[in-house]
Amino acid sequence: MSDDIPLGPEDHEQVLAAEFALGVLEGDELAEARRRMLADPRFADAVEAWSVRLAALGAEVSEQIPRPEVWDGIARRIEAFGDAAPVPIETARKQHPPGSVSGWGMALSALGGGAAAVAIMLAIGLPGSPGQQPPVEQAARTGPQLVAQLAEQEGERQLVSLIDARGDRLALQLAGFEPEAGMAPELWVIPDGGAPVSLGLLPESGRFERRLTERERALLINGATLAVTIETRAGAPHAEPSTPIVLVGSLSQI
Amino acid sequence: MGQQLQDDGDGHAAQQRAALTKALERTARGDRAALQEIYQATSGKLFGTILRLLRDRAAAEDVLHDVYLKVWQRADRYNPGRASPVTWLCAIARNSAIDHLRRSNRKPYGGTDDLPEIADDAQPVDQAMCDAEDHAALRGALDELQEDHRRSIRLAYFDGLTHSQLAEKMNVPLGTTKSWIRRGLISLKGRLDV
Repeated sequence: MSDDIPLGPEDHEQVLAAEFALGVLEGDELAEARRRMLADPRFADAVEAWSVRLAALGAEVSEQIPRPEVWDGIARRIEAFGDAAPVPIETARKQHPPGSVSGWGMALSALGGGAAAVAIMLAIGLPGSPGQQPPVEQAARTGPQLVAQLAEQEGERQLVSLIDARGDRLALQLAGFEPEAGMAPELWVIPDGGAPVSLGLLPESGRFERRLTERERALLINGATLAVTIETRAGAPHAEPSTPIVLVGSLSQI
Repeated sequence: MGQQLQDDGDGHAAQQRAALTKALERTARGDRAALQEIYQATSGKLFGTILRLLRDRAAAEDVLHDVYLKVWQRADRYNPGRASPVTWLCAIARNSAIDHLRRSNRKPYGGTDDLPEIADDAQPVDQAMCDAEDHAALRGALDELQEDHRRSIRLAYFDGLTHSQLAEKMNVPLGTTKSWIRRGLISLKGRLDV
């Protein structure tokens, strides 16, 4: 009974999205779905729709009580963000009117199971290490800034980037990358609706700062997407990113 | 307030849906007390979902922590037209748990700690918590599926199994479970979209 169901391309997309949301995919099929999540806004949308459709089954699961410490941990993490709220609803809608969000942006809002797991957080300043208070005063002095903090959900890798008020310097802090010999993290900016542009190789950990070129400054704007991949040192900056995309997140104005 | 207890199931659920939607809006504006409200109202349900998939309390608590951080970050993306708040939250919780399962390469089940399958006709556990409409619609559509299709989807959902793990659990070839899942999902979509 191992038949393959003949499916039209639209059906195939729906089934793949549904299986991805259900969490049954593995191997090549899982890799394909993850790629499509990042590259194809319609696919990401379909995955989210399926996630929500299936989640209704959750009604049948019994409640369990976590220890009080769990809330304490959450409260502490939120404290550390200071008063940096997620971008307010009104601002978000103004910046991204329906239909204009790039494929990469859509991927960030989708809920597909098994997706390249990322967490996108706003932070004021650059936390030196998890749990440290961010330098709120410093940010207040220098005016509006663009910040992105990208971290693997279950992994160790994280990157925080800060672009100052005039937009001509990029400061980064990385941790947890351990690329193989000959490989290095490479940073990309993905303009809305456009192809990724390399921002060059990064050191595998620690702080890193440099001036931005004019072209780069034009791309590194509020709402732009940053991504990190692991590439060969040779041949950098590369013309396009290889998969998998290790971290992805957006620049937000604070 | 407690008069019509019988048919107030719906009223209560609608009230809670409205309260959670408001709390999500406030969370999107950075209101920490609002997130705590959401946590108090929903963490039991979400923890239950995660724990069932992970079978490990410590790991489940870690994932629960991350889930509410995501709620904090993504509250502005919640679309009330698309899903009830609890459904949206359950989806985040489940997807995070599955991510954890896949990354840690854990077998999601095995040996003597197998939890019993959640029966086909299981009733929603908490009338006030679940979204009765969403759930009834999905259950209705599932009930119309062939039994193998329905069972494989339910196993995949509640136990977090991949195609191969399903085949092993149901003791049939891989192609068979893939076919059941795919046919089941296509039928579901057809029924739910009408």
